[in-house]
Amino acid sequence: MKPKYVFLIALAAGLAGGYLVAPGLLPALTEAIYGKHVAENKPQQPKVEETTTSPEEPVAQSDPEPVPEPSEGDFDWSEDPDDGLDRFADAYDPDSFADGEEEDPVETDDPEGENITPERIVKYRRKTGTLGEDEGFKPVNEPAYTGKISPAVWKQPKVLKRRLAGRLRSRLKGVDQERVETYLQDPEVRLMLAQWELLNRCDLDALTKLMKDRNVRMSLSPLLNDLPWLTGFVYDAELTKAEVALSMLAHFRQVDPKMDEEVMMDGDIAKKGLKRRVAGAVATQFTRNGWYGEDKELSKEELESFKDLGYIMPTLPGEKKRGRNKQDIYRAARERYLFFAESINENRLNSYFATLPTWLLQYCCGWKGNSPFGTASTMRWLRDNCAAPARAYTGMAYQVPYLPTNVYGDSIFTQWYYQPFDVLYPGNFAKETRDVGAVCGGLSHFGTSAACANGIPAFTMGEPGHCAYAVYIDGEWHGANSLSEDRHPHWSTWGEYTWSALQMQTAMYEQGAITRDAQMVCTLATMLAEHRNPSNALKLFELAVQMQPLYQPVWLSYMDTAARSLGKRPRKWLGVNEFVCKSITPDHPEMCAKFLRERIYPTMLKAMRSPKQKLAAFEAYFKNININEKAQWDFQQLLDMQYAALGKSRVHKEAFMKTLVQNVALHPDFCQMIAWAIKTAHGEGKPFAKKVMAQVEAAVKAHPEAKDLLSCGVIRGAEEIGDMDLMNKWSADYLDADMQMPKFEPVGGNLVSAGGLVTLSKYHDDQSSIIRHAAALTENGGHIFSAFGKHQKVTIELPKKARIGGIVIVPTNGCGSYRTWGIEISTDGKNWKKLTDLPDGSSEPYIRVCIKRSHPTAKFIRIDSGEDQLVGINFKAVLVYDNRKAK
Amino acid sequence: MITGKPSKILAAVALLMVSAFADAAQRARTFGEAMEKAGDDGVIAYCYGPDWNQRSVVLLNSFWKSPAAEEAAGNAVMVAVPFYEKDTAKGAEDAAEIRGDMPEPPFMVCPTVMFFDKSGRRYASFQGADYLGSDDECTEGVKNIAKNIQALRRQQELMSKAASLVGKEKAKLLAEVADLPIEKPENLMSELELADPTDKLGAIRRNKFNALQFMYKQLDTPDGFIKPDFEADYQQMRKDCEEVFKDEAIRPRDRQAVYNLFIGQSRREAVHGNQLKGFIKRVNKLDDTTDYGKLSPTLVNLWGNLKHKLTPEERKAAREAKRAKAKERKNRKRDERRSKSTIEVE
Repeated sequence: MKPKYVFLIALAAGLAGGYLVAPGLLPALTEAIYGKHVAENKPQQPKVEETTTSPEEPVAQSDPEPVPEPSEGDFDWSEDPDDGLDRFADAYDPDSFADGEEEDPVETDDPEGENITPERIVKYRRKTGTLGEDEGFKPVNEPAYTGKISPAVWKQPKVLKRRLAGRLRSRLKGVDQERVETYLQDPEVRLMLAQWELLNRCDLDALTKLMKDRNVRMSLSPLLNDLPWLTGFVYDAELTKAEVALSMLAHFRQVDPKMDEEVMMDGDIAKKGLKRRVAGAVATQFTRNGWYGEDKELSKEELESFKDLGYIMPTLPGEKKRGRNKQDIYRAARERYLFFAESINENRLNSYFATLPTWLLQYCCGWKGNSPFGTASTMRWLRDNCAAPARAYTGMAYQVPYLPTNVYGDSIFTQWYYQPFDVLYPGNFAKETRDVGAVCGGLSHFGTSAACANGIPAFTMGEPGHCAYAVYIDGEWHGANSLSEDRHPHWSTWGEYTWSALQMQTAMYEQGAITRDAQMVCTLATMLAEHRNPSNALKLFELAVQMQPLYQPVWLSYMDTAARSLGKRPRKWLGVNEFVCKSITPDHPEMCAKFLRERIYPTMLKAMRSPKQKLAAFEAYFKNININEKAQWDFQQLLDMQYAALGKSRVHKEAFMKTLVQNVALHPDFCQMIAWAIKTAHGEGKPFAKKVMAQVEAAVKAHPEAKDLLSCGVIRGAEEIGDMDLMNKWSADYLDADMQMPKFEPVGGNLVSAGGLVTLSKYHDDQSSIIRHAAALTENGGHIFSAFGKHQKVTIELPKKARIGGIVIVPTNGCGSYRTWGIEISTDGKNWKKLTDLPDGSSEPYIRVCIKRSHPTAKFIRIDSGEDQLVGINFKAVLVYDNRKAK
Repeated sequence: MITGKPSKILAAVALLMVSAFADAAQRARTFGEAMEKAGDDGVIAYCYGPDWNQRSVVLLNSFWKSPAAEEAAGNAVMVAVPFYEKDTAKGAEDAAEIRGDMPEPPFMVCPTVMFFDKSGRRYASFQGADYLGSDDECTEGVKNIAKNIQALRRQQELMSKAASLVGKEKAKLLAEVADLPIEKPENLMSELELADPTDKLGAIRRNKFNALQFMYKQLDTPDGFIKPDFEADYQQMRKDCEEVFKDEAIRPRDRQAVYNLFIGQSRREAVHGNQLKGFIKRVNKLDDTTDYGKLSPTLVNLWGNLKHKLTPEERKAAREAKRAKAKERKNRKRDERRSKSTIEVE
C-alpha cells in the first residue's frame, strides 16, 4: 500500500514547478462542463475571429486558423437533405446469414450466391485494396484530409449532428457491400462519419456549454477537421465522456501552442501530428478512467483489492479529506501531456514511440494517471534513468529489490513502509521504490512505468496471488515478472480484462484498415438506427461484423439489433453461429466461448428445438479451434451450457461427447476438456461413462501423438471422480520416471502407497505432471505439482487400509520451510486426524515421519499447507509405509 | 548506478584531481582493440543505442567525445560501444565486432559508462541521468569518470604495496582497498583473512556484515515476510542492535540500518515518544550525511510525538500477542523437533 503522502508532495512540487493551468482557460472549461464552478479569469486567447457558414451564425469574419473556408457548395448546412435510402430500403433481407436452404442468400457481390465467409471477405478486401496480397492486413492509413467545418458550426452540436447525419445519408447510395466500400473511399465521408461518431459519444448539452467558449472552439477546430487524428481519437479506444476529453484537449492546446509543430525524430523521421495523437490518447484515457475530478471514495473492498498493488492512496482514518480546487481538475492530465510533448521535442523517447499507431499510444500515454508511478516527475526520472531497448523492459522490474520489510522492520502492507522515506524522494515514487524496495506489485509497476515513460507500451496485470506486467515488443505482448499464464490485464481497450481479450483486440487493431472501415460502417448503422431506418441499420451492422468479426463492440450492437429479426429461425441462427465460430474461434477460443455463452446461445438455444441442430451448432465451435495453447480459462461454463441444452437425449449427449473427444484429440492442449467429459459422464451412470472412455481410447488410437496429453485429461478426470482403477490404468505407462530420488533410511515396513490415488485441491494449468502422479507414490519418484494458492492440499488414497508405520515426502527442490504444513490421516476421507507438523527447514532433501508406537489405521493421507500463505505443492514423491516387517 | 561504495573524501579528492591529469586518453574503435591498448588505467566504454536512444547519440558527441571527458579518463582507452535494437538497423553490422566480448551493462540502460581494468575485470559502472547529469556536457559524468579512475589508481597502488608486505601492515592496506568506492579485486577478502586471521582491524567484519541478513534474523523471517504470530524479544533485539551500533569497525550506514530496526521495533512496542526521539537522534549523530541520518528530523516529527497510551485495538493486539507467546512457549518442544528432517511420532 502506498501512503498518500507521495501524491501530496508531488502535488506541491508540481504547483511550485509552475505547471499551473494556463490562466483563465481552465475555469472556462470547468464552468462549461461543471456549471457549478465559477470561472475566475478570462482566457488569454490571442485575438482570432471565427468564420461561419451556418445560418445560425450569420457573422462571417476572417478566420486565422488554418481551416479552409467552407463554401455553400461544399457543405450546405441550411437544410437537411433527404434520407435518400427509401428507394432500396425494401431490398433488405434480414436473413443474410442464411445457410442457403431455408431462404435466399443475402444480396452480395457473390455471383454464386454463397454466404459471406471470412475467407471471402479477405478475398474481397484484396480486390478492393485494403488487404495486400502478401503482407496480410494493411495497417490503418487515413489520407491526410482536412475538413471544412468552421469553428462556429460547433457552437450548436445538436444541429451539427443532425445535419451531418442528413449529409451522410444523402451520399449513401445503397447498403450493399460494394456501394458501402465506394462510399467509404471518400475522405469527406470518412471525416463526417468520425465527427458524427464523436458527437454521438458526447453529452450534447455539456458539449454545447463547452463550445460556447470561442477559445475552446478555435482550439479544437483544427483537430476536429483532421481526418487521421479524429478517426484515431474516436475509434482507437473506448471513448467515454467525450466532451470532457474535448475540454482537456482544448486545454492542452492552450498550454502547448506548439502542439502542431512538425517534429524531427531520429534525424530523419518527421512526425507530423504525433503530439496531437499523444494529446488525444492522454485525454481519452484520463477521462475514461475518471482521473480528472474529485478523489473517488473507495469502498473497503476496493481498498483491500488495491492494497497489494501499491498505488492507491486512501485517506487514512481520522485524516482530513483533501480538498481540491478548480485548478486541480486537469492537472494530472496536463502534466502527462506536457511530459510527452517535452520528451518528443527533445527526442528523449525510444525511437519506437514515433512509429506507434494511436491504439498503442493509449497504453504509454494513458498509463495510470492516479498513481504515484504516473506522475510527470516520476516518469521524467524513469525516462532519463531507465532508457532501454524495448526487449529490456521485461527485466526492468528487477532493478527494484524485493523487500517485504523495510529497514525499520515495517511490513510493506503497512502505511509505515514508505512513509519515512517520502521526504527524500519528493514526487519521485519510482526512485523511492528502487531504493527502498517493494514486492511484486511495486516491481511490476516500476517496470511498466519505466517502459511507458520511454514510449514502450506496457501495462500491469494480475495473476493468482501475484502482480505481473506485459510489454509490447515487436508486435507481441510479452509477460514480465510473470509466474503464471492465468493473466488478467489491468488495462483493456474495452472492458474485457483477460489475456485472451487482449490478444483479440491486438489482432483486431493490427488489421487496421479493415477494422477502421468496419468501425465506420458501424457508425453508419448506428446513425441509421437513430434515424428510424432499422432495416438498413441491421444490414450495415451485419456488414460490419462480416468485415471485422474481431471487433467486439459491433457484435454487441449487431446482436442487440438482430436478435429480434432472427427470432425463431434456427437455420439463420446456425448461420450466425457458424460465422462467429469460424471467425473468432480459430485464434481466440476463449473469447468466442464467452461470446457464444453470453450473446448467442441464450437466444439461439431458445429458437432451436432439435438437438441435432444444437449439436451442429456446438460442433462448429470445436471444429474451428485452431491454436495449441493450454485452455487456461473457464471452458466448463461453455461445456456445461452446451451439454445441458441437449436435454435428456442420450444419443445426442453421446454424439456431443464424441465430437468433443475427437476435437480435443486434434488439439490435445485442451485435454482438461477430457477430464470434464469423464466427470460429466460419471454423473450419467456407468454405461454412459464406459462409452465415453471407449471414445477416448479410440481417439488415442487414432492420434497416438496426443496420447500423453489425453492421458493427462483422463487421469485428472479419474482423480476427480475418485476412480483409482482408471487412474492406475492410464498411469501404467508413466511409472518409470527417472526422478533421481535421494537415499533415505527406511521409516517402516512395506510401501503401501503404490497404486493409490492422488488428488489436489488446486490443479496446475500445466497438465503434463498429472501423468506422473502415480509414479510419485512409488520409490521411482514422479511428480505432484499444484497451482499456487492458499490452503493447498494433496490427498493420497491408499489402495487399501493400512496401519501406518511411516511417511516419506521428497520435495522436488529440496526441503524449504514447511513451518505451517501438517499431515492428517483418515479412514473414510471425511473425518481427519492430525498426525504431525512438518519441519521448518531441513538440510536433507526429504522429510521422514517415523511412527514409533501408535501405528494408526488409515486409508487417506492428507498433506495440508495450512494458514493463509500462498504456496504451491511440488513433490517428487509421497511414500507411505505400513508397520509390518518389510518383505 | 554506481557500483562500489561512495566515499565523500575520495570524491572530493577526485574532483581536485580532474585538473591534475596530464595524460591524454586514447581512443579505440573496438573493445578488443581497447583491451589490447589498455595500460594501468584500463578501458572505459560508453554504451549507447544508435537506433533507439537518440539522447545517448547526442551525448556521444557532447560528452563522450569532449576534451573534459578525455581529461578525466586519464590514460584509459575510451571506446564507444553501440547496442542496436534491430540487427537490420544501419550500422548494426559492425556492432558485434565493436563490442567483441564486452559484457552487457548490469541493466541494459543507455547511456552507460563501464570501467574495466587492464585484465578485463569490470570495476565500476554508472548509468542514467542521476550519474551523468542532465546537461549535454554531463558534468556529473565527467566527475564520476575521474573519481573511478582515481580510485582504480589508488587500488592498484595499494595492492602493489601490499604484495611486498605481510601481517598487520598488509592487512591495513588491503582494508583500505576494500573501502574504495569501486569493486574489490577478486581475491581481496581471502587475502585479507590470511593477513589478519583474527580480524584485529575489523575489516573482515566490516566487509562481511550484512544489515539485511541481521534484520531478517532478528525478525525470524527467511524470506522477509514477517510471520503473523511473530513477537520480537524487545530486550534481546535492543542488546543485539546496540552491540552492532557500537562496533566502530562496521560502516556507519550499516550501523544506522541496524539501529533503525530497533527504532522501528520501539515504535511498534509503543515506547514513549521522548525515548524514541533519543534513539532517532543517535542515528543522526553517528553520521548525518547518510540517508538514514538525513531522515532523522522527519522521523522525529512522525514518531517522536507518539504517546505511550495504547488504543483499545493496540491493547487487544498486545493481549493476543501475549497469548501467542504463551502458545509459542508451549510448542517450543515441538518446534525444536521440527527443525529435523526426521519427525518421530508416538
